[in-house]
Amino acid sequence: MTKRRSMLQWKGILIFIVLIFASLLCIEARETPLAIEKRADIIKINTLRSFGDLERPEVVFFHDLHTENLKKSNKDCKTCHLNEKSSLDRLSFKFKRLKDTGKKEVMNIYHNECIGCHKTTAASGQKTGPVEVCGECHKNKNLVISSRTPMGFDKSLHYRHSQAQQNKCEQCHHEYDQKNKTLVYAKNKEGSCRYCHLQDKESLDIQKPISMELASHLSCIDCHRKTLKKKMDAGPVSCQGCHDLKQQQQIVKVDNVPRIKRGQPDNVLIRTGDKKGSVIGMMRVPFPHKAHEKYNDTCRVCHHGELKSCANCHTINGSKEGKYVKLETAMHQTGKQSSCQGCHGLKKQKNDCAGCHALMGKKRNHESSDCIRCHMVPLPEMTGVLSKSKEAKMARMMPEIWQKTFGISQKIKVPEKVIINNLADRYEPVEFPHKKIFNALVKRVNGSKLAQYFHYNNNTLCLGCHHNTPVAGKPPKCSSCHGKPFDEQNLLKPGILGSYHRQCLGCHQAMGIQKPKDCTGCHKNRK
Amino acid sequence: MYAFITGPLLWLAFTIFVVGCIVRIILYIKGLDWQADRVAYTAHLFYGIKGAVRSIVFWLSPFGTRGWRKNPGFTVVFFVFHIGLLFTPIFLQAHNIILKQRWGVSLWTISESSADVLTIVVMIAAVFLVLRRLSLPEVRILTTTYDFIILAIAVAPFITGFIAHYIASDYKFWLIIHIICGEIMLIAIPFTKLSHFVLFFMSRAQLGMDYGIKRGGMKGKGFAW
Amino acid sequence: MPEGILCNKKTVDIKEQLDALLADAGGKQYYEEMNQLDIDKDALRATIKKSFKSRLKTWLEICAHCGMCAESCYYYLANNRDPEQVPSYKIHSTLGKLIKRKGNVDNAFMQMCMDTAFSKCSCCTRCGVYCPFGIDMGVMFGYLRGLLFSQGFTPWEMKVGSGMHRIYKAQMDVTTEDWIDTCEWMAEEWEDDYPGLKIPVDKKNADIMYTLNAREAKHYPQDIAEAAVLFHLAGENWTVPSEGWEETSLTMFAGDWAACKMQVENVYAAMERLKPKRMVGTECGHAYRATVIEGPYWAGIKNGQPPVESLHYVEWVAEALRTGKLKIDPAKKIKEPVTFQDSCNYVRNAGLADIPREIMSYIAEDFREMTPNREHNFCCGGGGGLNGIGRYREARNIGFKIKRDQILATGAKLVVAPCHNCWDAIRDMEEIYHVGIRWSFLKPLLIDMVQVPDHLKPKD
Repeated sequence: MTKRRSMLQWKGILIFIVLIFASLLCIEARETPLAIEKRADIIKINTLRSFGDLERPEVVFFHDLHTENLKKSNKDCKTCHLNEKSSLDRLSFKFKRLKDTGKKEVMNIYHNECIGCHKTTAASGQKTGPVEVCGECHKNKNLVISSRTPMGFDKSLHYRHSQAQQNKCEQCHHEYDQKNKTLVYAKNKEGSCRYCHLQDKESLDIQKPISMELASHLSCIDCHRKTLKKKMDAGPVSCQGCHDLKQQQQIVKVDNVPRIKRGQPDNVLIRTGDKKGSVIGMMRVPFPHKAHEKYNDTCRVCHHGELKSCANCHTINGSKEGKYVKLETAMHQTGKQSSCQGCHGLKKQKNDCAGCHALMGKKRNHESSDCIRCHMVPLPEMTGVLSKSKEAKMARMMPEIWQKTFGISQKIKVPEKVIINNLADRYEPVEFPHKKIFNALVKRVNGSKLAQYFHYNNNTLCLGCHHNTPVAGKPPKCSSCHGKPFDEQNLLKPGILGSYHRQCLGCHQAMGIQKPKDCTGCHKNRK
Repeated sequence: MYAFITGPLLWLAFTIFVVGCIVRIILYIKGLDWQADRVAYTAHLFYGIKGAVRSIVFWLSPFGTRGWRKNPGFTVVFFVFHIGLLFTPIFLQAHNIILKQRWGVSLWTISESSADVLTIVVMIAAVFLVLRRLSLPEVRILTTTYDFIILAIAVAPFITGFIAHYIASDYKFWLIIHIICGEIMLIAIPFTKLSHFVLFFMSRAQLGMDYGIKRGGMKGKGFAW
Repeated sequence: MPEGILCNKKTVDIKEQLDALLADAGGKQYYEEMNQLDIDKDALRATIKKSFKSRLKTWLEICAHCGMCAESCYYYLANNRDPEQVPSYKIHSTLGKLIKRKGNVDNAFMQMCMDTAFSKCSCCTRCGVYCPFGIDMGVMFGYLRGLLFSQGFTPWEMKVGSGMHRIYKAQMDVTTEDWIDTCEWMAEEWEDDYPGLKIPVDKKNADIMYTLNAREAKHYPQDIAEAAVLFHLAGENWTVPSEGWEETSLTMFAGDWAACKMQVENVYAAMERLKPKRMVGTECGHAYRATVIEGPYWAGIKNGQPPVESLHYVEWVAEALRTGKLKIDPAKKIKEPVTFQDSCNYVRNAGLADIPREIMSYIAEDFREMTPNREHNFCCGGGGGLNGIGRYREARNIGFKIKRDQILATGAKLVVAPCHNCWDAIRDMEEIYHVGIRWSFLKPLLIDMVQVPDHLKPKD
């Protein structure tokens, strides 16, 4: 071979290598289609984070995938989880160890055990996980996203559990004895797990008490596991059994759950002032506790911190236990479900109510006769001493005085149809089916006890549209305040066109009413 | 595919590598001739070994000889390149974990970030070497395409390994390319200039013995490299 | 035409051949015939197969083309860093190619190899010291010279030199009679100043057997006298052999390995015959290298050492000064700035770097080292036989620049150069560049400054 040919050959080889490499990189740069899988059983193995920054990406581990496959070979939880060396007789949450001793040791446990098991499984010819390739477990890009739905324990589920445990509360409810470092049962102090297990997930600081995640898995799943072993019916032990949305929806819901017996009162008087309950500011509030138990799925909705009376922590002047939230704030804070007015306000967001209530102000109206719906003057028959004062008598009579002074007719005649023709130039006048709408609102009110309580009188419904005016048989027309066009002295008050459309369409939108589909749904085109 | 290239093919590559290197060493030593080379290798073994060891140690030390000191920039790039080239695959965690899984033994390992630094530094050094070859006239006149190919073979496992670890979306594919590049390198070592892996020591020892026995080593002092 | 009359593959073994060669002034006909010389490819291949072993093979194979040898080579530096002077390039474009083509080369290629091997390399081996792999291109060029010689491609002067050694066992046509006569003559001439001066010939069991360079016998006999005087003043029990007195080896430069063997065997035979305690050579670098360092291998001596412990002249001088055998008159020490030329052949290639420094400490007051120095010093520019070769004079003169600049940088006025080639080179360098320096062997300097013991002073 001549020198020239061999030189060409080398150059050719080099160019070939470079081309191959370039094309590989081009293939790489292409967008790969994302095939996203959703799973409820994802566990991110990142234990080594407690020893410093991770050197490889955390491993995305599918727990149910493993338990299902192990089940096929009659292998149970003990294949991977060891018994805790404590009086509690339960399996450790950790994989093949009880403690995280050191970085290398923990890494070796994961590698040896995971890979070792995969190897044995592969040897028996079954499909199994990665054996050697680092990046197949420590993936850079994770194309599986978690569809884990948080699990909750409502009163229906609680009832089913207490039935199964023959009402032995001590099976689940415990307190932590700091001195002896054990869990003990405290009778009549049973409460939600979350009262002590405050953290959602385990974090890097080792906290006591353990997180809700860890506690619920340790207690719930362990108990289920033991129960299943006794060949009895029990709850899920797989991830998806609790955390998959569809499976959650299949959990049997008991209608009319019998009342939890925790020594709670039927009715409560919420004191607003001194011990006598007489007026510093407002009358005390009689609270039907039993009725409200029906309206909520858990006790925690209201008893968010402890299973005690609100005033225990939220005192009149505020205290440390209540995080300095005063009783008044606790009862009236808008937007919070644990507050009375807050919860009622949230209920006003329902479609049925939102038509009017969405357009009304969200702030509390401090000067309103509505207050007496809760801070009520007690009827003379119900109490003795309290109702005898003159002021109390006056307060009791307020609704009647009001009625007489302003002459609110109890019988309002709602017109069948109202013709709105102020803007009849592009369109025909609107035939507004007033009565139909009024009746629909009445129907919706009747569907809610809360609504009925506050809308004790149908007249109150008028104020939804006929606002900024007292209730009357013939309320002012919209155009009496809303001119055309808008009033430049009062930019927040829309003009007549804006008013109609914002009021009508706003109501429809808030209530989720699909009609009208377009402009001609309300007013036909002028020919 | 993975099982094949990390099974039989890997065995083949390592066998060729180990046997090849041993063969090269044996052939080298066999081909030494005291009379033709004019070095009395065996007659003055002590001085010969002393000279050989000095010759190797001084040249294996950064800035250990005048030759290195005269080219400080190149020396830094050279040592960084070679230290990275050798240390990284031997002390990489990933390789040692595989070794542990397969054979239960493992060497010391370096942290992933150290390995990353070494890998990047090897790649940068390789770029410098290529630029040096193209820009310095005294190197350009010596350079052939073969030199670039050899460098490519040596650096390819690093580039592909790095891509597989950090950049690629198809990890397995690039891992396989990486393994194949590594095997190509192993197989190439006994047959190409990469044989300097062992022949550096042979050649340096030979010249060291030459200076140690013949050119003044027996007069007390070792050669002042 | 395969073989010329003067230029051919045969060695010059008889006087008539040599005379014919000498008659061709400057090698004019010789080089013309060389243009027609064929290559005996079979013979070349056979030689390569027999002699090209793993050391050379590996050197050529693993060269990483790094270019670190470039700056080590004074030809590269003197020729404005011409890339074609990079040692690796030089050896690969000659020996490398020769091996790759398996000897399948033509006349032009062989002449190019000869030009490279003789005018672009003086075999100083400095490149081997700077190569990370320890690839010694100087040694390789020596080997190449051997291959070239076997095919008849050698410079005219080298062919002459090879013939000289084969016929006269000396680099010049000095017969044994000429030699002994010269000894007697010198002893006579200098006896007046140094009563009792003798040049003993063939004395058995002496402490020192002295060998020298035929040029001294032919052209500079005073050197022999100076050597005799110094031995005499030092009170040495010394002798010279009648045969085997010539230590040099132009055959080494020429690549005539067979004649190298013959040459050194001659000297060793003298050692065997006279059984001196030690052999001391004259101030000649390649003579020491050829006879003491490389010689034993040509002669097949397994331990690589000559039959008798052999010294370069500087070693004897250092010992004499150290032990007080020679005493220097402090008033006569060299006062002007003086520097020392480290000859490749006994400093880098034999490890005698410390000895000259020791000597200078006795005889000089303002000694300046060159930069670089000792084992890392540059070749004088005339080594490897280059001084004598007319064809490559231009190339040699360019190479001188490096040594010239080194000497100038020291600021020295005098260069001590105990080596015939270095001495000649520095002389020629001064002749061309006129930098105003002087150069000297050790002997004349010592003669001037050494104290004569009373019992050896002339009685008058």
